[in-house]
Amino acid sequence: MTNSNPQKQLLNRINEVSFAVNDILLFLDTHPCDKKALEYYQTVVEERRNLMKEYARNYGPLTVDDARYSDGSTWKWMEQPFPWEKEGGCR
Amino acid sequence: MKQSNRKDSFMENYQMSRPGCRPYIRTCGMSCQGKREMQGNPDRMARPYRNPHSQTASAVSGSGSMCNTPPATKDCNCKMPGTTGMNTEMLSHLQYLEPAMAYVPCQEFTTTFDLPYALSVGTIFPQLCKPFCGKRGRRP
Repeated sequence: MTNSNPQKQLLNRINEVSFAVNDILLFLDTHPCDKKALEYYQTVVEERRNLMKEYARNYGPLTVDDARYSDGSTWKWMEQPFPWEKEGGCR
Repeated sequence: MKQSNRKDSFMENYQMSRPGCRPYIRTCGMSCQGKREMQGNPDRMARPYRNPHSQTASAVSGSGSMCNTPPATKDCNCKMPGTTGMNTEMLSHLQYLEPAMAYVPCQEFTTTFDLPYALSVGTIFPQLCKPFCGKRGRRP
């Protein structure tokens, strides 16, 4: 997907990486000792963590775990539109 | 509702071997090296279905492919005489298998798709990317 909006680009990458995390999770459920799969899990879950942090810093938190990475002076949770909304939030 | 509030639901739904649940089967169920039996209490360890009255089916679908064990297809001795090629070998098992039971071979971790492509096709595994378009396998 090509999109010039950096926020959408970042959200799209988060979706892609999150999907990979979920898929490798399913594989590991049935192959709990597979070293390559475990390495892959570490790679994608780390990338997801960093992307979520980056999103929270720039656009507001997607999960409550990431809320602490947003500007701490005010509570950003309700100030942004939800990711599937074009606009909204209590701004 | 914000997505994040239920972000761990996938993982929670995959708790296995919980008390009261059906036992989790950690075998392919297709291993042919496995006249070897699983260790442990048979009541607690899940085993692939086998017909107690059929010696032949028992030998074919024996258990034994635990984690770290190579998949059955690598050194399977079940090759039927006179069969050549992957398709016919695969089909050679059919007469030994129980009807109405599903058999799924073990998946191996090989390569993964690029993530944008993986999301668009619904899997990170090339082995599992099987777009059934209704074009092949039709009866003439």
